[in-house]
Amino acid sequence: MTWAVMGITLFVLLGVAFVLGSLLAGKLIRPSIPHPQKGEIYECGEPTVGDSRIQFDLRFYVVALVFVIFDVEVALLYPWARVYLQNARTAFVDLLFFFGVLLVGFAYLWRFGYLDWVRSSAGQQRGGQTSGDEDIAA
Amino acid sequence: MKLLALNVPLPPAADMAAFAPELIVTATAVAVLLLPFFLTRSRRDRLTAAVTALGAAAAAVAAGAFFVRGGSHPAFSGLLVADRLSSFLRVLIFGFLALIAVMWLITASRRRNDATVIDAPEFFTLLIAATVGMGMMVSSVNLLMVVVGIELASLPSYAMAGFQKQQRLGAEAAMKYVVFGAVTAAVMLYGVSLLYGVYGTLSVDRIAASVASAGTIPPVAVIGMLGLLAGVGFKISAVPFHFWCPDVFEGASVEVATFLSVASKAAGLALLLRLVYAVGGFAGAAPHYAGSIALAVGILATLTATLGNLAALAQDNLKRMLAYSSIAHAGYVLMAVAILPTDGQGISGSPGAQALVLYLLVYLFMNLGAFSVVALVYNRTGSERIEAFAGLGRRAPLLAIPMALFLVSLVGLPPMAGFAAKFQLFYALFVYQPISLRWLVVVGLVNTLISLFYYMRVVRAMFLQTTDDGPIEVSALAAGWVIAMAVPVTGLLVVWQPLTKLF
Repeated sequence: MTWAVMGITLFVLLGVAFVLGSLLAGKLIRPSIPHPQKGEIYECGEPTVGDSRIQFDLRFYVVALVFVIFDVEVALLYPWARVYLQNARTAFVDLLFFFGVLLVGFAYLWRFGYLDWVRSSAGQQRGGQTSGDEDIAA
Repeated sequence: MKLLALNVPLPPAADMAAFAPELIVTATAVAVLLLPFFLTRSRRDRLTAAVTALGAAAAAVAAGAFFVRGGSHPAFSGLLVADRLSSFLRVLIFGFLALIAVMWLITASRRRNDATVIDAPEFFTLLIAATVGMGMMVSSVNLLMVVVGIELASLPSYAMAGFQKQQRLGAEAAMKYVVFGAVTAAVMLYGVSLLYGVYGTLSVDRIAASVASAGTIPPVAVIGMLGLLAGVGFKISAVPFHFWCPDVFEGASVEVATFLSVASKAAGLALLLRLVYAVGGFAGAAPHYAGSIALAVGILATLTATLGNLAALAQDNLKRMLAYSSIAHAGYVLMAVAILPTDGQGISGSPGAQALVLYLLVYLFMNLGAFSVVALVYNRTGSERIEAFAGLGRRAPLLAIPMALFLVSLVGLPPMAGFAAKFQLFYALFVYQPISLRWLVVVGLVNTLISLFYYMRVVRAMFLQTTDDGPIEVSALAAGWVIAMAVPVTGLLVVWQPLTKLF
């Protein structure tokens, strides 16, 4: 077993022992006075209204996906920034290219109403039965 | 400012040139997204398909130029390689993308309310992205790129399978596809991480060198390789990983099913060939593990071909039947992967690779043709079931006769190119395979016999059954397209000999 493996093993064991140890200590020390109010959601939560397993509007997914794409893109900037100074001009052009491709997609979303909450629902209907008629009208 | 003088080179221009096909196709995807800014709705759909076809054809030509020049060019610090196998497969895949775009123009663009027409730019962007992933799959010599390639090919495919948003079957297909794909991707990633843990590298060549020098494969690495096999097996729908295939083909539109049945499988099979040959192919005496690898691939091929053919017998939906047929054909091609080169000559010119390349080339045309006829009949009758084909020989002879040619070719009967593909494969199996695996020839022949039944069932429905339905109107363009596909399906037999020398 190498030092690194030993260190990781020790770390894991200590971590588990710490959690179990504090739970056990609390169990031994604290008085036990159960009350229904103690079962409620604590401080930052709201009491729930209805079931959480409901149908979810598809529009949330579009917005979430767009967010994730640009979020990950920022994460990808980190390794780029690390090597930026090694060849600044090339790196800059590289990034413009990378951004450019993403921006085309972003422009497409913006232009065709995928970011617009209300038009987005109109866009979904567009995929249905009415579309053929629309085409004839246009 | 001294720092700025430090020069970290870009990937050399030669690397970029070797992957010009991928760059061209990526540029096409961006162009396809930009097109609708300048065009009205009514004109943009056809133009999108035309631009895709042109871009893909240009990429195929670029890959073809590299193929003709020959040689092997490792690129991007050994992540990808542009050699004859990858260049030929890229000609095949990008050329196929161009053909799919043309097929879409002829079949899908005539359908009213087809989601791929309404959102054509998005559909073609997904299609192109998946194709780029497949191009990377056939070129990758590093497990990291294998994973990236497979994922890049898979993710757009999931979306394409469910592109018909209003249809329940499409949604079900996409759901099954994505769940199955996510699980196999996870297993594959785990396998790759195990291989990295054992060999300390992701380079396929270096792993192969370690295996060769050790002379044996430790159990952990075997598990890693099996995990990797799950990921690749999912793409080619080899048997324990095939469950998504019939449902996706049934739920997705015909064009998407065609695309997945050829491009996805061709890329996966070429990738598997490269991986298996790297570890199993070598100069000199064969170590014992090579036989085990060939046997494992042979068993996988047997299961895939047999189950595909047996399940196809029971299908009444043509798309489902062709899905099982494509599973069976993947099984045949897997047999070619089991023919390991024993004289250390590598992939190029090895009998297994020759058989695989010829089979995929012929399979591309006959499958594209058969699916095109299914799409055209669906456009006119609204049905993909075998009953819709009843009496087609009288109702639309221009569709029925080429369809019969495609089906005969899919069986592998003599006057068609499918015969050349199958004969080449079984010949290579018989001559170059070690004795212990010659039973694969018997498996292949028995399977061919089984497949005769369900392909001929369609021919029987077309020519021997009669219905009261009137003739089906076939446009000159559609008839021309189907006949154009029938030409290589008959004609490739004539250039059989040069085709085997090609590679």
